[in-house]
Amino acid sequence: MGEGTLSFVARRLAQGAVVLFAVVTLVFVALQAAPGDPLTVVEERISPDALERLRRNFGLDRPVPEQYVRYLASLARGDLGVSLTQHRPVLDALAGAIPNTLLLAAAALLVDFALGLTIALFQATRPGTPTDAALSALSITLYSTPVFWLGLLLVVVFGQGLGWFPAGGATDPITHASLSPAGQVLDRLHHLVLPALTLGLAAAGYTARHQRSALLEVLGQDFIRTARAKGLRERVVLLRHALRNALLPTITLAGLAFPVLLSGSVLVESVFSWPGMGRLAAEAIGRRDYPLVTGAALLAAVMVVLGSLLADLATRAADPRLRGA
Amino acid sequence: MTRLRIGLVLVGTLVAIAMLAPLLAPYPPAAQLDLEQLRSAAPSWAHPLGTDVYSRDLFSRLLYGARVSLTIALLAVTLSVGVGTLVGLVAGYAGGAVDTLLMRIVDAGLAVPKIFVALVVLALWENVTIGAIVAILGLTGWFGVSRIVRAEVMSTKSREYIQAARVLGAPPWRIIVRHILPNVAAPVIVTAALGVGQVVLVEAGLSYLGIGVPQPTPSWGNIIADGQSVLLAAPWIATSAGVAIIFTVLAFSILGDGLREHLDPRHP
Amino acid sequence: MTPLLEVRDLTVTFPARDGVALAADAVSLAIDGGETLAVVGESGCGKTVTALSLLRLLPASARVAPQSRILFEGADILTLDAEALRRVRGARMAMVFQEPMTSLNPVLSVGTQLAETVEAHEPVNRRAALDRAAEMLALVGLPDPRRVLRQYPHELSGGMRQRAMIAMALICGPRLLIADEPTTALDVTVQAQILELLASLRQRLGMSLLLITHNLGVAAGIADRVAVMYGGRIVETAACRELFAAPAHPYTAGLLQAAPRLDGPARPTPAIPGAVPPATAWPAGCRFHPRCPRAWERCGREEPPLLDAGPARASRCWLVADPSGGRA
Repeated sequence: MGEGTLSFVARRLAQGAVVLFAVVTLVFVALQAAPGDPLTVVEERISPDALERLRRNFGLDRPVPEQYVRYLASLARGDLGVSLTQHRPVLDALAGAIPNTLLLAAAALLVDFALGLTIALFQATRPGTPTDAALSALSITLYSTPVFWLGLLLVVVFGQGLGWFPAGGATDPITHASLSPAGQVLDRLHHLVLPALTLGLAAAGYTARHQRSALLEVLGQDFIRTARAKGLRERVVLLRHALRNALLPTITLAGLAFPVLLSGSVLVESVFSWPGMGRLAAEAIGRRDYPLVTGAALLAAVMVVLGSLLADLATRAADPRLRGA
Repeated sequence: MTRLRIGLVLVGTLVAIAMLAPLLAPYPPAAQLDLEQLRSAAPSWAHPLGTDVYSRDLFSRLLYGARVSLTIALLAVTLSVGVGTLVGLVAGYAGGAVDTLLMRIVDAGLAVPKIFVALVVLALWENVTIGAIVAILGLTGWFGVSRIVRAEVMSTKSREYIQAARVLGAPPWRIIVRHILPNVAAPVIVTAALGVGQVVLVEAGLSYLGIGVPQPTPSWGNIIADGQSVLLAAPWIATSAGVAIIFTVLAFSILGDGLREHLDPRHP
Repeated sequence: MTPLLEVRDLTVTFPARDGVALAADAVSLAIDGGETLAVVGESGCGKTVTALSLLRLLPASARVAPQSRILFEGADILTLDAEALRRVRGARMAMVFQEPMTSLNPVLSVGTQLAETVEAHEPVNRRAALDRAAEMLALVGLPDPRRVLRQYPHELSGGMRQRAMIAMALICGPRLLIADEPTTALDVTVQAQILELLASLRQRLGMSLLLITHNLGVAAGIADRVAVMYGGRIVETAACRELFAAPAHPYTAGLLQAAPRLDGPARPTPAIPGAVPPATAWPAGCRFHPRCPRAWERCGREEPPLLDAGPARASRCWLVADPSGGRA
């Protein structure tokens, strides 16, 4: 890549920092705006004295601006608070779950692109045909489907019904520890299939739709005609010339897909008992463990910002015009 | 038939069903009819879609669920569009520091996945009301709209007839209402239509997790949650609610696409 | 001697909102080996459609009439199967387009785009293909070819891009190069250079050149023979010098008169009156007759065929048969 990449990354990181700052502030405001203060949820269970001590401990008796500063300070230290249910730092509680969520999101993105691009290529090479219309209908139905329902469907059919895949979890609770390293990897993959498929299918519908119109637009351009005039095989024209160009807007779109994927992961992780951040957050809700939930939300925002940065870098890598020669 | 017409017909049907639910439903949605005989009963003449685990008539629950889910979605989207348009207008028209500040907030809003925001707020609330859900969904959904509106405002603002109007002394409000809003209307309406579908999905997700519409009020999401425990024995519970959601989101997507084709020839 | 390329009765139509557009109507022409033929006409006369037909690059909505024939190296291009056509494209017959910026893929390097042409037709590896590419870039006059190989289209100037396109078209040594308005999108000074390049390459590589242009001056510079098109038809063919010295068709005469000249006193440039009619509704009789200063009633009634106007000359005009123009 050319010069300018370093300054680009620096600039985007700075922007990301500003965004995260705004997120943190908004979260703080949301917490303050909720009725009652965070300790109302434990009020009945402890004595008024203990409540007072907790209040002082959490700094809840201080004026709001001071609470804000303390909040920022602790975040800067990497201190996301203490989980009310697990009684340990939120970051510790989430640390084990984050890789699982990332794994699921990455696998889902893979399914999303593999399926979405294939459908789109199929459609763009035969526009206006009944097949094209049928695939469009499929795409739009896919992204109209609630992701948790799709998950249940897949679990029932392939998990409990046909028994091809496990119905939940990331590893087999009984046998995993005794498997060979290769066996463990396979076990993990085996458990990954259904959740990744669920999350990826819905996204694939959207990707297919978007990619189809991008492809059709590219296929109408002059350089495609040149490629054919040179006697290139149609497959080369399609993949090396058309798709390469049509992918550019899609990569940018992938960057925007992170919030959606992470939202979806909360639901999918719940359906499949996948030990990720989303499931922890959903469970924490029921027990009013707001530090954990807030911590998860903040981490999700960080992932989104980083994901969008990665997508922008990928676009820069793919499109030489952006590298400013 | 054009997409627009199909979309209007489908959405119209849905809205009609939702409004007429009290008339169409054979039983009250929360009534537990016969805990002995009618738990998770299969579809029959008396109960076209069977009953759920608490022997409540599923058909009635679905109809009322339509009412609840659609009402929430439509109100939330209205709120989103309202706030988003306002913010977009202000940011686009004022420009400068105001614009930068507002757009950073928008970036922040877009960076946090919607469900997480809902989770954070709901973590602190004991009793969630439908109004609260509307507020949460509405206040987390305006960011996209504001960007669209802001872009339109900025592109329209620099056009010559706007400059002319300003020079002639037209007050900002008049310029906005007479010149900018009409341009903005088309993409906003499209976004709103598509947004309804998105909100239905998010609300269903929250209800499924148990932090959305509270029982016994039916929402398609919590009906699916109810149906999960008896998924193999009584699949019609979760299936019918799921299909209802798909149908609804599809209807609004088709409507949105149809509106886009019809109103905004620049963006096919 | 059989011509290298022979087009017979090429007829191409497009569906249009208000009927059918007859873009090319029974076009017939021939190019010999080593010859430069210029096809000249205003926009809408069918010259580009004719050019695109030669390699079957027309858009999907185009319809080529079944009686059309495009004979090249002993085969009819229009009836070749897909693989045979692919082998002709770029290797035996190649094309250069008008707008080099949009005709080159913006995200692939120049080297890749040249090398892939070689790889599509010959069993060479990437390194050998790139070497050939560098040779061609040098041949078309680009300095520092190795550097250009690594560059992207947007990093080159308009003239350089067009040279690269020419290199790309010629890299497999085709017998016929079709150049569709190769200089129209370029600056005037660069235009002359590119034309000179094309002429010299034609000679060095011993190939034929079919030049499509609306600019008579361009044709005059390098063509051996010229075919003038109007209304989807060929209206005149002649050797270049003879055409410019004494045009047989009033349209050609009009074009020559309408070209601004630097020699002689300043005068208002006489334009051909009227405008080109839409391809969905060509006039009855001679298609040019509504705008022709020499037209008479026969011209509106009966469309003239291409009449023999001398050795290797033809003109689609009743004046050839009846030079008195109906006044006798």
